[in-house]
This record gives sequence, structure tokens and C-alpha cells, in this order.
Amino acid sequence: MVDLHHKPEKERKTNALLDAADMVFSQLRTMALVLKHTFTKADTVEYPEQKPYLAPRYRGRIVLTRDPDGEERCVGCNLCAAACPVDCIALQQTIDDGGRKRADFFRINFSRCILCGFCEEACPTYAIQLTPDVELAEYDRQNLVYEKEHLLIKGVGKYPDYSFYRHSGIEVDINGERKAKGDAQQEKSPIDIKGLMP
Amino acid sequence: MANDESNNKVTIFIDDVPFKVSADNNLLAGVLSNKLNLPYFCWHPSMGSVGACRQCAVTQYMDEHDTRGRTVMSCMTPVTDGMRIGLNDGSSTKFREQVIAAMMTNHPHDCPVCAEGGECHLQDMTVMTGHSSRQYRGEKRTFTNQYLGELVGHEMNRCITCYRCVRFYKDYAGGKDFDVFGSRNQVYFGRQKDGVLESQFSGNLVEVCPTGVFTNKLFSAHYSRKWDLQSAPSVCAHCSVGCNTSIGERYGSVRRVMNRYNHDLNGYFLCDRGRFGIGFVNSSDRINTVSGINCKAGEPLQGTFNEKSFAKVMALHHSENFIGIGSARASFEANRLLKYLVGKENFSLGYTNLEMQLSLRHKQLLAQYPQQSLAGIENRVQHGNGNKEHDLVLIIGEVIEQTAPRLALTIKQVLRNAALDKAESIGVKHWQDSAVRTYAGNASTPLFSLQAQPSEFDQGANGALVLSPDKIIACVNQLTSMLKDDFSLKDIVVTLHESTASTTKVPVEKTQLDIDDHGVCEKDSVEQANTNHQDKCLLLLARSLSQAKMPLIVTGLTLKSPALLVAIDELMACLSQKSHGVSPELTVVAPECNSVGNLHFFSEQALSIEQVINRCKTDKEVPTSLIILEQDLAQLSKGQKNQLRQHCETMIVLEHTKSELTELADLVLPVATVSESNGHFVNFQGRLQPFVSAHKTVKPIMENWYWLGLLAKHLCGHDEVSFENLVQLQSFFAKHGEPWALQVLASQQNSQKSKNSVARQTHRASGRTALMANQSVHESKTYRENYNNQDGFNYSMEGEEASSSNHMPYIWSPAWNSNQAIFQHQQEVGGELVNSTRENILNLTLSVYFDESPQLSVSEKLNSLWPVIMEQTLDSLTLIQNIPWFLAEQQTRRVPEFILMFSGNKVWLSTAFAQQHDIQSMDVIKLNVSGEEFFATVKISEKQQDNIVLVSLYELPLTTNNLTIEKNSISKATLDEVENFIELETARKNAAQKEKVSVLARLKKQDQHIPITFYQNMGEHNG
Repeated sequence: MVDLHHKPEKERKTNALLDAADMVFSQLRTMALVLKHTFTKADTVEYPEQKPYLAPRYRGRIVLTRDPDGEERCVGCNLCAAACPVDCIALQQTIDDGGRKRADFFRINFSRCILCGFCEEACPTYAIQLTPDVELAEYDRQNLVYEKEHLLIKGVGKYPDYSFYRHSGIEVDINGERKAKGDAQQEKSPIDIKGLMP
Repeated sequence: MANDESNNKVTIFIDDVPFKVSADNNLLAGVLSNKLNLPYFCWHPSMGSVGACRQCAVTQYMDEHDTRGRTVMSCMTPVTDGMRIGLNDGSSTKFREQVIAAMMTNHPHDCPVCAEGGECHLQDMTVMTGHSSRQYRGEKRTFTNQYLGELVGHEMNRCITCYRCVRFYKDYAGGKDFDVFGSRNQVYFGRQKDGVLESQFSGNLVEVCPTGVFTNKLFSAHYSRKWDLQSAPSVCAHCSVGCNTSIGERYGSVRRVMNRYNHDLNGYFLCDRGRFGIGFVNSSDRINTVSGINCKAGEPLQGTFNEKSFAKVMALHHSENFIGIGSARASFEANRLLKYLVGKENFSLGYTNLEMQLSLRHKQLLAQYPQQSLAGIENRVQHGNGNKEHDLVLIIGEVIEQTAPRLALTIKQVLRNAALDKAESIGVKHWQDSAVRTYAGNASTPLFSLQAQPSEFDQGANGALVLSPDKIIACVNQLTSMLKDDFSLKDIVVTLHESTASTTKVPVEKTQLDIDDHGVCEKDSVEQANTNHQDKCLLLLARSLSQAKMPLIVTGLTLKSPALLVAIDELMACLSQKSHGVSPELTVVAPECNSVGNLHFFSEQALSIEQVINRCKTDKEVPTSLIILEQDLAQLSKGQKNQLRQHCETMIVLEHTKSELTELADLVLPVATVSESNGHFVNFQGRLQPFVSAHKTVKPIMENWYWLGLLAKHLCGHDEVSFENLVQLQSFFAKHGEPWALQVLASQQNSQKSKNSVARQTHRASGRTALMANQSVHESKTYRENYNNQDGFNYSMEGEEASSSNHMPYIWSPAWNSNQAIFQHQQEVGGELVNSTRENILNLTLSVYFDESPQLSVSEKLNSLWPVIMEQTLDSLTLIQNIPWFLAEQQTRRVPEFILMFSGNKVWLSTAFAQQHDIQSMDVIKLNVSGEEFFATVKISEKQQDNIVLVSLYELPLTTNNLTIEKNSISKATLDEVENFIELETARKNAAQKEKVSVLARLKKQDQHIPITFYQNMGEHNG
């Protein structure tokens, strides 16, 4: 801050004059700018009539995707729930008849979700993904609680080829066929423990 | 740490920093005892080292000038004073990382679907070594899995060949049906073929395995990650040992039981009854409504409880005289309160006359001979010192692997004392596990058993006699007199030799007995030389006993014979006379988890069931009513129960699971099980151990003491009894000067470092804002509601960390997510916990009434108080229960997986009896036991005594044992009956299968509609 009291009187006077000039210029400049914008195209769009472009990797509403075989990708491992900083994901794992683990229920409380994407980062099976949909407004907060049937989509999302169970070592049914031991990618066939070969 | 000298501590330098470590243990244990992070797999504090995994490598330097050093496996390296090692130096760090990298080449991509994930030792170690990405691009080795029964799952792909499973199962627990097969990187751990694991300790494989090869099947079916479980320190309610457990809960239902380290008792291991028996709390037979009040209005009572209407109903019964029947499976506090409520002259322990006599003898033994803890029996710390070890084990009349499996595991370790000593004699330390086993072979501490039925211990025993209960008593008496002679005549050895001529080779010099002797004892034909064989064994036993310095005698109450306890008392008295230089120890297995606690309430005024029935019958002026606390009265037949029902005015039953009594009762009050309530159990030693609820109850289910408090207030007019929490109850009795209450309160104050309560949930617990969001999106604070419940634990992730309490709800420490983290909380590896406080031992004193007096002996007094009529007919049989261990406790009989494991009702008959009655093996017979008919398949056993019938009947109550039955009560079943029997057997299995499925379905449904009101002010928000 400039301490005016310690400056000579003459200098003070010139400073005041300069300030005044500055002020006038600023006013005129502003008016000119406003005038200019009246004739230029607006940056904002008429939302909701017109939607803005959001990149495919934008972090919006969370979905659960399916693997290329059309099965749920989520194996109910709980890592997303553990990573969630606001604890808004709750689920329960279950094992189905084919030996697959999946979520018995999967709930996201979007009224708490901060769309940080940690869950997507934590997910080992690419099941949970964030989408560019950000339209999550509701009149009733209760409607922001999404269950599995609301979250699950038909497609594979951002990762078209990945299927966890084709990599994992456990036995499961894939497309109604048993994927036995040794059938997964990069697996040898099971060892014959009674074999005598060295 | 003050007495480093006596603890045999030496100084070593780890990365040039001096540390004190124990010279008795290996380097790895020393490093871990100093709370340093050193990865390992195959070493286990209870099982020692084998050096199989190569993970715990460190660099050992010659001296301070040595800069290169050499890589050694710390678990195989003894500690020497001044030794220098490098823990974080380049070469050993790299080595450890590469070992993990090699293990990971074949480890499958399973973590997300593996039940071990989140508490996996392999995950922890991988992170700790810094191995973060796989370089191996080849194909992975795979194995097929085996079906190992209902309890343990198998996924061999995940194996890292540390050998811990087989070392535990086969070497430590003595299992015979599990082994290692194959060679090089094709090593396979499993059974010879698919089948149920036979050991009582198979569940420990889940905890012992560093990764997810063995998983808890029951937990996997309704799974939750460890970090999501809300856990509480609890005490196992399935036998009298009182192992410490940790019960895990999620979404309002109990998920699993894990071992909770207690140095004195269970250590690192639990039995399967304790681990998997918890299923009873989720049973479909749980009572969750009050029946008796409000019933006509048809109001649904779930979730609510109206004290006013309860009081109104209670007011109708004011004028009645109440008798309270306590129970050995209810908490100590609840029994105490019940006794206070009805008065000591109206209190019964729920025992028959015979059991009252038995209890007195039990109390006498406990008062005279202090009971060692399991650690004391096993001499867990002082291995190698050799001075305080048991050098002989004698088991009398108690099949401990059925009644107290964890004690049996301890006895198995005691039997290794001889091998450890033998190895020690050539300088092989106890932790050199494979070296000890190679050198000492199957050298075993002398073991003798006198049983009424065959037992697991018979095979390795130096002398094992299977006799009828009467003969066991006779044998013990004979043994006592032989010992008396032996002690009085120093040169008895010579006499004995002459009398037995050359048939028995009695080792004179050695206390170590040869296997030959055992062979002689065993091979004798039972029919021909029965008495001869018996005499020889007894002689051998007497000889060994008189030479032993510290024999251990194990007995129990299952044979229901007061005379046996008297005989053992005499034997102990004879042995423990100071001049003989023998310091014998006695362990008495109590029937249930709080039986010894009940002995505290035992006095000459206590009523037996017979007296209760009598009182109900005779007191007609004032109507007599009953308050029955968690008691089945299984000793009574159906007829007797009906009789009791008829003669009492009102019958109030507090119970958690449906039983015959709850069907008869006027008023059934649903009480919480051990997983939902607080209290203390008193174990076989008299140790008062607290258990804490893992989750809140769903009203009207309430804790037993709370119900009793309500009864006291509204029924008995005890207005002073009004307890909001258990601490108030304890303080109330402390004010009355009761020592147990003072002890308990004092230890509760010491147990926590800070005033704040400990969090039951982990700091990483997930889903708080979503788990009930489908019911209401408004979650509220979880912390507030705990104000009233002063048990020192919060139903929340907020609060002090688990390790700050001496009763840790779960075991965790930074970087150690598996149960292996326990070493971070021990003073030193395998030792006491850092926060351990002294346990409260209940002081048992006998009432003066039972002192021996010249006019009346104790047994005469007993018979006058609680007369027992011994029916003896010449032509009778003795019925002995031989139920498998998983059904040898009332509550675990509700667990569907256990029922599925049960191979069906069986009866073992002797060859002679079977021939006489023309019964063949696998026939179905009808058995008449006190008026009730049972059917069973026959097995014929050659070794069995003619007058003994061994039974394993699901429907027969456990309390029925050593019962005299007529010979004609066994008959061949007719064809119709056989069909019925087969139908019943399959029906039982089908029902269990159905129950298993329906419980899972119900719990899964409940996950989404959590019944517990976590948030009390939730309703207010909703409006």
C-alpha cells in the first residue's frame, strides 16, 4: 500500500489526476466491450434445450457394464466401496449357480457421490465406469439412490474386449459352457498329480 | 524387559541399530518381536521353521567391517550375541522381491473373487517387498480342486507351496487325511481323494494358509471383506475352554468367527466347532417375538417392544411364588441376577440330583487343584527349559476331542515334549521343526487313557483301556492303592517284576517308555486276557506315574459319575503328597461354557430339578411359577416336562431358539445370543472372560439380563433393579460386596488406555451413506447412540483403534492386513499381548455345610439333599454317548452344515452281544432309552466291552450319558420301522439342506432391509 502522507504534495496531485483518467478510460472500455458482445456469438448454450459436448471420459453418472459375452462384469469385490471417499457405495457379493461371483445388490447413493472416479480406478474388472451424463437433478433426494437395475447397462462401456473371468483361475460358466481349470487365457492344462514324470 | 538376563536376551545389530532379541528363538522371531517388517510365509510362531519359502532372507555380516555379507534365511538362523544383519540392504531386499516375483508367476488373477482378498498375507508381503508388476509372460500352472466338505473350500491354483497347511494339519493337529503330493513345482496339498476333512481343526487352514487356497465356505457364501466387518471380542460358547473369538457382522447378520489371540488359552488356533458353530445365531428357529402378551390382538411385535403392556401382564402374576432355573450357557451375570430375583432358596441350576452331586465334586476338585490354562499345560513359553514340562498324560473318562477339542490340540502338543527334549539334548532347538521331527521321530510323552469309549488318543497311547464306567472307577482306585504301596515300598520294583514274571517288560530306569510295551498292551486279545491286559496296563501306569515328575491328569464330567471324581480326588491326593516329589496337575473339562460359573451359585440350598418338580406339586397354597433362563432341561423326558408344565402356575421361558420348553411356556421372551449380548463366561479354570456384542439386537429380542431386570421390576417388585447397561448391573452387585463384580469392574477400568470407546468397525469400513439409503436417504450420526451402552465399544468406525483395547475386536496393523498382524500387538512373538491385563479368576469356595464331619460324611449329606437311586441289575447295559465333536454341544446342533456332516444315527455293539441277539453289522435296531424310542444302524466293534452300548444319536439329548438300560431295550427293527428310519435320516438331511438354503436366502434379503435401527433419529428425518 502506498502511504500518501509521506509523499510530497505535488506528486500527490499528479497521481490523483492519473487515477481519474484511468477511471474514465475503464468505463469507456467496458461500454465498448459490452457493445462488441452484443454483436458476437454467445459461448453459453441454451441448456437444457441444447446440450453441451462432454468428452467420453468425462466423470458423470456411474454405470455398471457387461463383458463382451453380455454377463455382468461386477464380481462384487468391494474395492469400489472401499475406495469411495464418501462411502456412497454399498453392495453384497453372492455366488450364482455357475460359480460366478456377482453383486446381490449394488447401491450407489448419488446424493452423496462426488463423481471423483476413484471407484472406476479401483475396479479390477472394468465393471464400474463413469459416463459423460451429468444430469442427476431430482426433486426428491430419495430418487438419487440407484440400485443395481438402475446402474447396469447393456454394453461394455469404454473397454470393449475385457472379460475378467477369461483371465481368472477359477472355474465358472461362460455362455453356459464350463470354463474348466486350464481353459483361461495363459493357463496350462491342470497338472496330473498322480503322474510320475519328473 | 527389566529382566533381560532371565529371559535370555542378547543384542543383535539390524542395519547397525542394536536390538534386544531372545536367544531361544530364531532370528526371524527376534526381528518381528522388535516390530520390524520382514516378510515371511512358511514360519509360524506355533509351528516353528522349515525354511521352505525363502522369503525371510536377510544379509548376515561377519563383523562391522564386512560390507558384502551373505544371504541367510532368518527363520533358520539361530541368534548369537552381537550378530550383525542387514534388513533393508540392497541385496536382501532384491532377493525378497525376486522370491515373490517367482511365486507370482503362477499365482492366478483371482484377487477380486478370492475370499482372502483384503486379509491376504501374500498380498501384504507382495506390497511389502515392492513387487508391483509381473514380468513373466508365460503360461500359468493350474490344478484341479478337491471337495473338502461343507466347511472348507479349496482353490489349489493359488498355492505358493509354503507347506503351512500340511504342517498344521498333519504335524501339529495330528490329522491323517491330508497330505502333500507330487514334486517340484507340481506340489499338491490335499486329500488322497475328494472328501470331508476329518480333523476338528480343519478351519484353521483358512487362517494358517497365507493366501486363498483354503477358504471358509460358510463365510464365502455370504461374504464380506474384512475391512467391512463390524467385529467384537467374544468368547466361544461351545465348550468350557472359553477360547477367545472375534465375531464379524455386516448388514445386521453374523458372518464369521475368527480366532482372537489369547496367549493363555487358544493361542493361534480354534476348533471347528467354535469357528463354524456360530451358525446357530442365524437359525430359522430363532425366536424373534414375544409370545404370551399381546398375542390375541395379533399385533406384530417385531422391531418394537411395549414395556407398559408387558408390565400390565406381569401385574397379573404378582402373587405367585417364582422359582428360577438358571443355565450353564447363559452368562454369569444373567444367572446372578436371576438368583437375586427369586432368592437363593428358589434358585435352581437346572441340574438333576445326580448332576448336583457331580457339581459338588467338581467344585471340590476345582477348589483344591488350581487349573492350568492351556498355555500352562502346553508350557508354551518355556520350551527347551525342560524344568516345568508335563512328562506324563493320563486321560480318565473324558473324550476330550469331542467335548473340548481345543484342549485335545493342546494335549497333542504336550505329547511332543519328549521329542523336543530329545532334540534339545543334541542341541536342536524347539523351533527347528523339521530337524526335531527328523531326529526325534515319533518320540512321545507317555500317554495313558482310561475311557468308556474308543478315542483318538488310543493309538499313540502307551496304555489305553476301554472299560465300563464302573470299571474305570475301580481302576482309578486300584491305581491309587498301587501308588500308595509304590511310594511306601521303595523296592517295589523288584516285587512287581517277580509278580508279573516275564510277560511285561517294565522299564525301570527310563521314564521314556518303549513302543514295545505299548504293543504288548494293545495286542492282547480282549476276550481272553481282559483282566490280564488291564492289570498290565495299570501296572505300567503306576510305575510311570510314580516316576513322573509332573504328570497331567485330564478328566471331565461327561460320564456323570460323582464316584469317578471322588476316585480322582484320592488319586490326586496320593500323588501330590509333597514327600514324593511329584507335582501332579489336574484338568477337569466342564460340560458347558459357563458351567464353572454356575458352580459359584452352588450351595446346599440350590434346588435340583426333581426338587423343583416336587415344589410345584406340593406347594398348593401359593401357586408356584417358573422363570427358566436359556435352559432346555434336556435331562427331563417329554413326560416329565409335561408334568412340570402341569404343576407350575406360570412358565416364563427366556430363550433364543425354539425348544420343547418354549412350546410349553406361557410366556416366551426372546433373548440375544452370544453374538448380540454382553456378559461373562467362566471357563473350566474359573477364568471370568467378557464377551461383547457384535451387533445390536432387534427388538423385542433383548439381552437376557435386561429381560430379567424387567421381570424384577414388574413381576417381583424389585424396584431397585433397573439397569440400562451391564456396568450398572455389575456395580449393583459390587455395592453388595460381591468380589467377582469388583474384579470385573476393576479390570474393565484397566482394559482401556483412553476414556473413549473402541471402534467395532475398521477405519476403512465402507458404505456408510449407502447401506440403508434404500430405506431412507437421510443417514445420521452413528456415534451418538452409544451413550448408554458402556461396554467400551462403538457400533461405528469412529473411536479408538482396535489395538488400544486388551480385547481387540479384530486384528490389524499397518501393512499387515491378515491375522498375522497379531505379532505387532504381542510383547514378543508368541507371547503375551502388549495390552494384556491379568485375567479374573473366580474364587470358588465350598459352603461350610459340605465340610467333612464325624456325624455325616459328605456323600451322606449329598444323598440326603439330592438322593440318587442307583438302579443296578445284573443283566443291564450301560449306554455311552459317542456323538461326533460337531454335535457335542446343544447350540451347534442347529447348524445345518454340521447336520449334513453327520453320517446318521449309529450304535456300536460288542461282538458277543451282537451274536447273542443275532444282530449283524449295518442292521437297523430299535433302542429304548427312558421311554423314548430311537433307531440306529449297528456297527460291531471287537474291542468293545460286552455290557457297553455306544450310541451316536442325533435326537438323544447330550445330558443322557452313562445310563443303565435293560438288555431287552435293544431289539431288531421291523421292516416298517427300518423304512421309517431311513426316511427319517434322509428327512433330517433334506431339512438341513433346505435350512442352509433358506437361511442364506433370508440373510441376503435382510441385507437390503437391515433390521437394526443403527440410527435412532432416522424416523424423525423421515417425516
